[in-house]
Amino acid sequence: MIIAQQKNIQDIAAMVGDCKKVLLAGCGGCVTVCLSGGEKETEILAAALRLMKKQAGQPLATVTYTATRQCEPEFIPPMDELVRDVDAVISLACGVGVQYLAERYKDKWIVPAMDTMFAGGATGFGSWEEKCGLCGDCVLHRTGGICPVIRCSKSIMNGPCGGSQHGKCEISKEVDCAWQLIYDRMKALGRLSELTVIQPPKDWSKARDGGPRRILREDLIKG
Amino acid sequence: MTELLPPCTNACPVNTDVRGYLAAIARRDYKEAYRLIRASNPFPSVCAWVCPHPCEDNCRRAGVDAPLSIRSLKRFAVDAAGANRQPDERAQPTGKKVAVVGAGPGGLTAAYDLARLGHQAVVYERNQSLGGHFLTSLPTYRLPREMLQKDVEEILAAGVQARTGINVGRDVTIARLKEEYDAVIIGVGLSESKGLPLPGFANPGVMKALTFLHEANTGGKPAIGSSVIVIGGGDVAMDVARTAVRLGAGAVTVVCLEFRDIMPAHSWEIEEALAEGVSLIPGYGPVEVLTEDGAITGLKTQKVKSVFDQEGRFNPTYEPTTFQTIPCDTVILAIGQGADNSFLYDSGLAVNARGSLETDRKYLSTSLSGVFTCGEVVTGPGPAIAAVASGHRAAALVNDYLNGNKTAACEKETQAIGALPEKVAERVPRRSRQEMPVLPAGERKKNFKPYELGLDEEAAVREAGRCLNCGLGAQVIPEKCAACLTCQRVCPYDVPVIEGMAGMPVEGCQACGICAAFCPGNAITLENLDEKGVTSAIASLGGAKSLVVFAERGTCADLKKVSSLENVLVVSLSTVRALQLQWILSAFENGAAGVVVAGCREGECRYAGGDELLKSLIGRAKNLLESIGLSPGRLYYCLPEEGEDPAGLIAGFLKECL
Ligand SMILES: Cc1cc2nc3c(=O)[nH]c(=O)nc-3n(C[C@H](O)[C@H](O)[C@H](O)COP(=O)(O)OP(=O)(O)OC[C@H]3O[C@@H](n4cnc5c(N)ncnc54)[C@H](O)[C@@H]3O)c2cc1C
Ligand code: SF4
Ligand code: SF4
Ligand code: SF4
Repeated sequence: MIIAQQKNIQDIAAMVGDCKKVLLAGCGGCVTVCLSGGEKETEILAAALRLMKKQAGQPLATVTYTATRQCEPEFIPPMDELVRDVDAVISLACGVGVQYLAERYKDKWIVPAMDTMFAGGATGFGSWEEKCGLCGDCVLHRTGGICPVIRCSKSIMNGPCGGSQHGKCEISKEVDCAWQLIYDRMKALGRLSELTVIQPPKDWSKARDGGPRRILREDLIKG
Repeated sequence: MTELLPPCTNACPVNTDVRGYLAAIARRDYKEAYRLIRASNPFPSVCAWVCPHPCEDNCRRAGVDAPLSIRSLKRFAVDAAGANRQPDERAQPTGKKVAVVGAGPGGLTAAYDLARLGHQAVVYERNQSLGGHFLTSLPTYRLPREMLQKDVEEILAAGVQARTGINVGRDVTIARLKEEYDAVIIGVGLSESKGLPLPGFANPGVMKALTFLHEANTGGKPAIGSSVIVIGGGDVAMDVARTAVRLGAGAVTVVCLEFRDIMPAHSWEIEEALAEGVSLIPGYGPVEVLTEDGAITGLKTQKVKSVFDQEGRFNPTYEPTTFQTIPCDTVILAIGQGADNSFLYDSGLAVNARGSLETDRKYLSTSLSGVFTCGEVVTGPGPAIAAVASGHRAAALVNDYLNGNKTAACEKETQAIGALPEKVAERVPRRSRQEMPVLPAGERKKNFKPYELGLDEEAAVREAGRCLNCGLGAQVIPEKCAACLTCQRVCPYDVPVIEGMAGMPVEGCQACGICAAFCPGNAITLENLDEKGVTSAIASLGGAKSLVVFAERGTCADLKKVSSLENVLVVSLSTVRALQLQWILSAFENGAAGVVVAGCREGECRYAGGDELLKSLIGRAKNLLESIGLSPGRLYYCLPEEGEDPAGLIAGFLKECL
């Protein structure tokens, strides 16, 4: 899932500095699960902003709404009424949600409360890790189920590099060397020899480098 | 649909809201506790003294350490509620009249319900006062009659009329009452002690339990000698034996057919009797009362082989050659009660082969339309609260009858919440049970004064706080649950199960509310937490500059002083660990000068775990306050150390803030 975290509240407040009334739009999808933008956080942020603005002598009115998911156009219209009489909408969804809102409410000031971080998952209560590089051409079957694209700091396809030290990446003692992990896993699987095959350069056109991506499923698209 | 109830409530014949009144005691709202008790039982004061408390026998806390001291707490609540109680609400008069025969707990309950429904309820009682066995049979050291008086007064205040000194069957017939009233309820109870057709039992020195008790209870001196044998193994036998001890009998021996472990008397009745010097000869049946010159000299008994047959029916068999003769000068029979059927005279009511009233046990009807029954005369002997339950039922059925409703008051199906899972029970902090303080046996056996002294306030509040709030736990709002696993990760008891969405099995959930504090979808609600109550309490500040104190409900005795301070609003939670960040912000938004989170002293919290989570939540709140321009110092996490007075600490903080 997408992992996001809230921006600093001062930065959020600055984005709506001249507003008298805002809608805070939460999302019931990934950001609920990663504890950053669900109904609870939406209400906390709304209350904190009101308090902050009250302190500053510029009272702010808020309304809140948590969409089932902001990344589906059908879940947006229920907000129409609420959006009508606010000066801005603060979206607590990932960047996808913010854009859906901006698309529908063309004349509104739509701002993000979140920094959308990565595709990953929880490693415990309160900790998340990036796991997938969204490269569009998955190689996990060749790397023991460990993503070199995103978990190797250099996205090396034939690792490790000389910076691998005692299982850690040279960028930080906190970061595991992905290629050490890949090596260990393949060894445990008895498939070390597969690592001797040189991987050809990756076709990055399938990733972001090819420009914005889109999937069209002919079998599903009506008419 | 079957209603799932806490086992205490489910075991109570009138389904008393035990959990509710215990919670009221825990928050020191004794009037509310009394109201809740009385809501299902017009004999709160009597039952607080004498109920054999099936609730307690079923309490799930037994799986942790010991069941709640429920009857002791009821006793505390009725004492603490004092006078000045709410008058009962009554419906508009219906113009319908109902005669109730017999003013025991069954009949009086029926009359009380009918009066509140707007009918004219008139009770006919052959005694000069009301109360049935409560008045005549229960020993006064167990039931001070002021308690009965209190309950009876409230029943009469609800509009019940009483005609005492009228023996139905002799002074007026049921047939006559049927003409005069729209319906009749027979609640004559079981007022005759059974006799034994064995040699020597016709001797005038052989007494019957009810006559003996009645005389002793009304200040008389029954003619007993110095060596008394009581025959019978039930509670009544224990009452007789202990009364005989108090009347000064030198030796009192209880002889019963049943072996010690299957004696029908409640274990505590037997233990208290033994402590008062009563001897027990279980497993022996009476054969003959031996006399010399008309005076009783002993009781011949025979050893019992078995009490019940293979089908479990009462059918004693004896060892053919093992006899025991016990010397004595008095024999009192306490082997059960039967109905005095004189009320049937000229009634036109059908009777069975044994000459007893023919009744339908479910619909409490008789052979005559409009004539109903209730209490022990139809249910057989049992605890008083069962007679009360039957009185309620009779009233509901009569009300249906009077209103011409064909559908008789339907039986609601109930089921008890299952046992506490072991893994949860292990984690619940242990708390010792507060027992009813009593006078020592040596002292109490000398007179008829009540010997149960009642819990003091602190003990009662502490005891009430042991209740596990069964069934008030987390409920998931399905459409809001994102299956994020947070609840499972934070629950100190490992209760939530996520299968598609979260579910909190009711047997395990301790209703602490910690999961709700962290659920990102606001998908969890708890009756025990009462989120609405919390938010409206905070909103009640209405901008007033004061201190908001979040504290664990009730059990924190120290906070009593704090809540009485001016400018302090105590918001009680199931536990402070259930505190939600929004509430802190909301308090400040509503004008709070400061917010206190009143933590529990080490080991004092009634819930396990959650400390670290609360600390992080407070840390986050402080950071947030700082970044929005409020001093984090206005949020105070008060964690008193050993010997520190939280009220003092909070009062100090209040001064700083205002
Ligand atoms: C010794 C003893 C100790 C007990 N201890 C306890 C205890 O500790 N806890 C507990 O829960 N229960 C106890 N019980 C049981 C409890 O008292 C009974 O369950 C309860 O009283 C039954 O209520 P009832 O209304 O059916 O009948 P009763 O209480 O028997 O009331 C019937 C009433 O009808 C009246 N009556 C009878 N015939 C006529 C007539 N012809 N005309 C007019 N009036 C009539 C009687 O005088 C009496 O007042 C005890 C019982 C006994 C005998
Ligand atoms: S713990 Fe409380 S609610 Fe649960 S059975 Fe015991 S008294 Fe009833
Ligand atoms: S914490 Fe809330 S949203 Fe998450 S699984 Fe539990 S109930 Fe569902
Ligand atoms: S955290 Fe508390 S309220 Fe929530 S499921 Fe666990 S025991 Fe129940």
